[in-house]
Amino acid sequence: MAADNAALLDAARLGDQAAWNALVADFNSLVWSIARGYRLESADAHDAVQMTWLRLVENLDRIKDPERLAGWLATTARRECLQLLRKSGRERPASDDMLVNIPDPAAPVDAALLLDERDGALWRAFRLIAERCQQLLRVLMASPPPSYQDVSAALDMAVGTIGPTRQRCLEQLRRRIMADDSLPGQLRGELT
Amino acid sequence: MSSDDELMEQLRRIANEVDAAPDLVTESARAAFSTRRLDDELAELLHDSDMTASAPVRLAQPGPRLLSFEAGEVSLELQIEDAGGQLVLRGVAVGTVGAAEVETVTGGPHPAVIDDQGWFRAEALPVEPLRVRVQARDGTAVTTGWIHP
Repeated sequence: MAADNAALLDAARLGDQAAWNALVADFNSLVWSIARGYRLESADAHDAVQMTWLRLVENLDRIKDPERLAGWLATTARRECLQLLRKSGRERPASDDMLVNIPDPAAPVDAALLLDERDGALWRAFRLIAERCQQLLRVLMASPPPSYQDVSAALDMAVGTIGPTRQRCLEQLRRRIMADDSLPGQLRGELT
Repeated sequence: MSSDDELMEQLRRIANEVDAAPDLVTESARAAFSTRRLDDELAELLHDSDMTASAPVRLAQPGPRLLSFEAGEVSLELQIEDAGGQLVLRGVAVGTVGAAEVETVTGGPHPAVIDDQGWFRAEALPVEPLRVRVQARDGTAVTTGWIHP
């Protein structure tokens, strides 16, 4: 990946739009997932993603270490998201209390779009777990899966806390599914 | 019992299905490349009132946003205000020659005359990311970073 990044960055610096598009293809899911992790609704998420890529364009010559490109994008995306949240007055102090559950102000993603019943149940349960858990898991859902270093940059979390927090959050998700009486027992068993 | 990794992989697959980046977002990420200015010097952001004021202060006093940029001998003070769905930008330039150019991300450049006191202004700008470009006395083009209004 790093070798690819180096070649793509070099080509982009020389003005190669195809190389740029390849960088977007590789990392836009990460940047988008971060914006969604910060619960920006679609228009704000679009703004944050656009600003992140504009910043990469203006800083192309400053990215010295191609291996750090994903981390640089993650850090930049976090700043853009926080600035948008600050502007809309929605920024809350970070809380480590995983039990606090705050309703999601972002437009709900329609679980009804999912044809598979299990997928729908899983996604509904995901939208009900604690906000910090949704944030972490949403960033981890980027494709390809982000490294913990990149997640750390995206959420300003210590790398060492990501694994244990992920475990607690998935546990919370399982408990949420178990508590969903509308699901047939067999389905609950499959999901958890 | 699915493992954490399996559960995570299911979630990733669902996110790709129902919450992937819309095409419009991917297109604007690609289009960002056309804003590249090879020969311009990027001015350093020294101050941004949006980054320093705490949220309650900012909400209580929705005044204009103030930003300062510097590059070598050039300095720019900008004031950006939302006037009924359009942006008004006022600026003071020091160490420049010629006119300023205000560029918005989808619109073209708006030329702005710099008067002999260094003041310039641009009005009726769309509410979208913008940047300002000036020319230093030595001929170097200096551009601010993108500002999200």
